[in-house]
Amino acid sequence: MTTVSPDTQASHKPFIELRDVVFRHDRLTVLDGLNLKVTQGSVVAILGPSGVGKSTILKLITGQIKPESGSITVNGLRVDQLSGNKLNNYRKTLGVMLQNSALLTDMSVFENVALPVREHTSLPEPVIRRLVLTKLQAVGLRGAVAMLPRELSGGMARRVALARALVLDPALVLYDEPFTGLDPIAAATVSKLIRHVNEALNVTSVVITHDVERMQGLIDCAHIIIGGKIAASGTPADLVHDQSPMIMQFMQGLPDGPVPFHYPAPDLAEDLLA
Amino acid sequence: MSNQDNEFGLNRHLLNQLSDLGSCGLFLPKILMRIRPSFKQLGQIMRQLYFVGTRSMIIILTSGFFIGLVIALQGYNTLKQFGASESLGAVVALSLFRELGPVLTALLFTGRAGTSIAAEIGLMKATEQLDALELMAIDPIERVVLPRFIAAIIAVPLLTAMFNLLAVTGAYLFAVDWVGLDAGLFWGRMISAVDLGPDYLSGFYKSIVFGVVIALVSVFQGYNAEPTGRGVAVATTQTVIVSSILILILDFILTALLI
Ligand SMILES: Nc1ncnc2c1ncn2[C@@H]1O[C@H](COP(=O)(O)OP(=O)(O)OP(=O)(O)O)[C@@H](O)[C@H]1O
Ligand SMILES: [Mg+2]
Repeated sequence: MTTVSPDTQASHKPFIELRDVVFRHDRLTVLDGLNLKVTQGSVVAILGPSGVGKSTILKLITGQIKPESGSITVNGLRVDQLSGNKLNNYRKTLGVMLQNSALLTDMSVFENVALPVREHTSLPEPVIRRLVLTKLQAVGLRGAVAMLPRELSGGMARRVALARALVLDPALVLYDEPFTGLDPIAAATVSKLIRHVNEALNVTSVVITHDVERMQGLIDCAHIIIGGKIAASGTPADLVHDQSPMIMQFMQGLPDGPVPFHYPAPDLAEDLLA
Repeated sequence: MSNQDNEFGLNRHLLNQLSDLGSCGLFLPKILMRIRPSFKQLGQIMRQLYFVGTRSMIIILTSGFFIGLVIALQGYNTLKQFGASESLGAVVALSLFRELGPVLTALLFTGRAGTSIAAEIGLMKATEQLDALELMAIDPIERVVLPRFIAAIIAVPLLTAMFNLLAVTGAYLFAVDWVGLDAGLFWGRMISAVDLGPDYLSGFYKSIVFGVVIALVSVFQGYNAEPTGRGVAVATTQTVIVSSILILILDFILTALLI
């Protein structure tokens, strides 16, 4: 597996750059001065415990939410300042696989995958058909082309969502938890597919996951988010051997350690006696 | 969302409802702004029109038929006492075209199609389908809200006409086949009593206004639902409550204006 070493990355201009990003939900500070760079053409993982703000980072990159302060630059565009048509044009270059597959329930698998093509190109029907079937073949679901989303299992739906995200050959693909709900074979297939798409089309991929095992061989660089900031970055091998207690705890899945398992709460005794 | 936790008493409740009505009104220009004269949009509207139409057809047709029977039955018993039973056709037609047709169709349509529009859009929001559309650079208001909105507006007057037709048929069957009134007299009195303008058209105008109200309330409630199962349930209930009240209030105002 070819991996871009972090040294050569530093010389490139980053494709995605989040600088000093602060984001709050009411009084809960989710991201607290986050800095993140992703090199063009790499596969990067964002790891972290549940509720730490991984999906929030994705929403910031897609422009669904705006940061309270800081900047988000993708391919030279200030995403946090985009709106209207400019935002739409930016989004046409993205492929996004959401945490729950979000297929349109009133359309067949075929129409779901064809939707972005129909909407943004004027390709003739036979070409659309070829395009859609090729993508479905890649996720192993060409046979499900006529099914409706309600007839699919959770794992099948995720793979259709993946085909839909890739159908317009985006420059940047964002995956929110692509492996949850997949059996080991499908997970391995999706993992290979993410890598393959990345190499064949030279896209940049950001994979949000807490599946530490699945990272090996898939990603070039991983960032672990804890407490609204990046706690550690590096290749999977680096992180596995990282000696800091926080990273060790996360990588090995230990319940006790510096990473909080609990959502911020008042003292338990006080709460119970209140 | 302002329509949650309404248990705080009537004042709060009323204020919420009013502010909801305000934002509902503001939603209208957002939808209208997105109308494009394109075949694609027309296709989507026709598809939704087919859905709302077929969904509501059975309930509208059966209700219409039985309402016709009931008015004829009630009217006949009253008119008979004055020896005016041959005016039955006129009585039936006037009450139907002016009031019962538009109002009952609108209420039935709210219960059948308005609720499912609200639930559908609310569920699409709860399952991130609307987010997914936005991320594909597809405008969810243009793509999801607008076709349903226009389809509902077109459907209500059409369904009202069908309701009236079935009701008149029901009344005719009662009058002619059951109590043996003369068919020519039944039609003749009806035709001479109904004026196209004040009677038929005023009902038609009402049904258009009701269509706009139901369409707007249902898409607004669905689009602004809290993205959870509970939120979708609240949105459907609110659709029925808000549309029904608005329909009855507007019916009074329109009747006063059109009479
Ligand atoms: N609409 C909202 N209102 C208030 N708080 C929110 C909202 N959405 C998310 N949060 C909070 O923001 C934090 C980050 O949420 P986010 O969805 O980004 O987590 P995540 O890292 O993706 O978690 P997971 O791995 O479970 O998907 C959470 O603590 C959550 O409670
Ligand atoms: Mg998440």
